Amino acid sequence: MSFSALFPSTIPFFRWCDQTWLCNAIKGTTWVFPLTETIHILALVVLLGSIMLLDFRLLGIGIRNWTPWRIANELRRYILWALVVILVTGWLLFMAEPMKAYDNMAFLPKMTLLFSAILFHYTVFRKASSIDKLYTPVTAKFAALVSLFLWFGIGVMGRAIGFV
Amino acid sequence: MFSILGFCQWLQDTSIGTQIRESTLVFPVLEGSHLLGLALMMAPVMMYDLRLVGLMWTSDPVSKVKWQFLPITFAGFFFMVSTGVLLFWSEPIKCYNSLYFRVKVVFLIIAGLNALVFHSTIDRTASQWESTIPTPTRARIAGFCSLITWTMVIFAGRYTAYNL
Repeated sequence: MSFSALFPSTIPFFRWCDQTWLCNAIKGTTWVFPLTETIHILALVVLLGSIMLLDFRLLGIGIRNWTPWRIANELRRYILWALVVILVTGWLLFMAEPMKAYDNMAFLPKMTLLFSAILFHYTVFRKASSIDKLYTPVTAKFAALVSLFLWFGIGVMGRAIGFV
Repeated sequence: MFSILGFCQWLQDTSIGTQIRESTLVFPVLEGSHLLGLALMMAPVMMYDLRLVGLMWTSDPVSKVKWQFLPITFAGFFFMVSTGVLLFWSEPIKCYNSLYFRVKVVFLIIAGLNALVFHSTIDRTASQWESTIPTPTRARIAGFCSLITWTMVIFAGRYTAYNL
């Protein structure tokens, strides 16, 4: 399930990334990668944690005194900034070893899930979580389950990058 | 005579520790779950801290914010501690020798003391100030201190795995 197995024609892009100034600069140091990865993890805690709070609320678990709309509204900026940080650090991590990403079996699934999750979050999920009632309909619960599946999937695949 | 190193050596040689260490799947799954538990616990903790600092949920009293998030915090805490204990169990000697693991323990203790001091002093009179903005200086300090110390715990935790 890697780029090398499914989309070998993308190799010029990965090769080009591998020769950029940025890639060589990151490879030339030992401290940039761990620091970037740690900031990536911190942003993950904020992003995944907040989205889980919202998902659980839609499923009827926890924070039941507030409507989904109120929670989503309060969390919006928080989620957006965590997403920006996680994308920037994630991009830096990719630029540190593009050829590894090309061959990695978990990287392509992770990117596929990531773009699906962002798209889903700002379209269907945004609408589903804008209910200003204490009771949530089945459709919103279903959207919460899809959201959990997508964001967990990214986490699992991200963890797997280091092992496959 | 009891020594921490002796205890770590004994723990490392137990069959549970050895089995986790030698399994290819259990360790990464535990690490991933530990991170998930972290997100589950830290998101609501940060929400409460940010309320104490006065940056989020300011239209609700502190105690209401607390009771909305506390059950999820406990669930995440339980999940995180149980996976954390198993992770430590699998490589206690490595943790013993790791500077970052020691830093992590120190910050965990500071985070615990901060919560203890907050709940046994200024939080006791919360009913008098919980709806006023800005919150009392001591509540803001406690919230800020919690945010910083937990960030340091996550930071040192990630760095423990790098063998630096």
